[in-house]
Amino acid sequence: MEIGRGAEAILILNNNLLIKNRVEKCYRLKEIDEKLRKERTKKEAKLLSDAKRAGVKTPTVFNTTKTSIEMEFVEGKLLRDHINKARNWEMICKKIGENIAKLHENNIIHGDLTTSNMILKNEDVYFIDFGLGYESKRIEDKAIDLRVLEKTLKAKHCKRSDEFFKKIIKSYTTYEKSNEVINRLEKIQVRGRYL
Amino acid sequence: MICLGIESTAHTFGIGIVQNKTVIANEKKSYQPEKGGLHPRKTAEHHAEVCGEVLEKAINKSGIRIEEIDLIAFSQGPGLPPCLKIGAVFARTLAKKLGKPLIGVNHCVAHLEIGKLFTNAKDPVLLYASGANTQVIALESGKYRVFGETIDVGVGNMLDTFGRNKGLSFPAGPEIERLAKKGEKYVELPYTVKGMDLAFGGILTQAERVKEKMENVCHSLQETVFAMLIEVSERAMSHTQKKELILGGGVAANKRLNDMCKIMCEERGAKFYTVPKQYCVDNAAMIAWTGLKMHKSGVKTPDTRIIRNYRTDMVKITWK
Repeated sequence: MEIGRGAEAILILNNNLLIKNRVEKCYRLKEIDEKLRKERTKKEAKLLSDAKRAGVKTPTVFNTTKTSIEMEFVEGKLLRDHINKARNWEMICKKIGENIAKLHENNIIHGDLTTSNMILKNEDVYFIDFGLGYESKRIEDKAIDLRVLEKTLKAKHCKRSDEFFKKIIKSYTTYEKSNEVINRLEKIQVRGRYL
Repeated sequence: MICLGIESTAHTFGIGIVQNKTVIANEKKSYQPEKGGLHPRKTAEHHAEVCGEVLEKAINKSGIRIEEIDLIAFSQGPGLPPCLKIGAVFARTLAKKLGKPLIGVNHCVAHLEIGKLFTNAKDPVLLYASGANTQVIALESGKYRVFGETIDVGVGNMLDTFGRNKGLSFPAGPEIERLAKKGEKYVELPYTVKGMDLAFGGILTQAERVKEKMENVCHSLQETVFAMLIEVSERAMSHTQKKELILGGGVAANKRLNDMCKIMCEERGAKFYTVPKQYCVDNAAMIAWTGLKMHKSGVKTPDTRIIRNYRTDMVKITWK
């Protein structure tokens, strides 16, 4: 049963097993399409497991093919739809910050930190969709990771984005190099166009 | 109600006149340097020289008398400051002389508004790809939010720079498109989507360096950067759950980019709209139209100084 369709993949649920299939995009050249789908699938499966090992809640990966991943189905609420009305938003933001801290401590860059890629299940925040992720030790890459989150919060949850982001950053400081990253983030913020 | 709009953010000086929902004049003159890119001061000098002539043409075309105008709108930013200043001074003078109100318009917002006028799209995502700007914008909580944008140069600027360094004429887009059609082989270029943002600098460098037939490089260049634009647009549509896409900006003149938008929208059951070419590129009708809408919803511009770094998401959208 198809349960979701993101920008690049179809999600199929089959007996508590979630299959994420990166579908062909006919608008782009076959060479580009195949390369992106293969690379991202491979990378995503690896990073999902790496992130889990780093202590971040992610769905368990069972199997992969060239362009699809079979993983555990996390039944919870998508933060995109939930966080604006959540009474325990402080706890949620704290968890988000801690998760990012753990990722960055292990040099994992998520690459697409948005509330569409976070699921709340019981008291835990699961991170999903590592398709744009990569490994990097660079402070710059970690700061860009936070910048993406800040911008999508602003775009989607504009009224309270500052509150949310401040709380997230506060708990992100559990990462020992967080100061460096936050300093770099401030530099990146003024680097954009028309600021 | 009749609104006269003035556009002067970059190489185009334009005057457009809109009567209620109809564009009755859309005149312009664009500055084209003999070689190299735009020099801001020289471009501004061009605008100062042609502004009277463009006004006369626009008035003649519209068939109205200048006294019948009810409102003056001008592009307040973003853009090259010397050029913006010419437009602003011209607008203030005209408003003073005619004794009519003056309203400042955000250039990027105007691109979206004119797109909506010509397509009947209700709540679209706009892929705005021009020389200076590359943004994916959509309405969310009373503002046009930027979901993804370039973090270095605009996509048109990158194509022009590539063309210029390879000896093609300005604007290089059409020439690259013509060459790309003959390209057969795909040469690998960096694919730089960073989250929702785009970067073109590295692609430009690599495309210039690669030793390959020009046709093949153009083909690969177009395919790569357009795929990036579409991907970010699709992600914005998916994230906001919107079902309409408008393509605007000068690069919208490219047939291949249009086709790619169309396929992407078909694949996800969304609607794709194109804007007539004269309203895709920089034009003043869009400034007049947006000014009119803003005025009707009660917006006033007490401070008419230019805002060179006027961001799309700084404008509060009080109109529908």
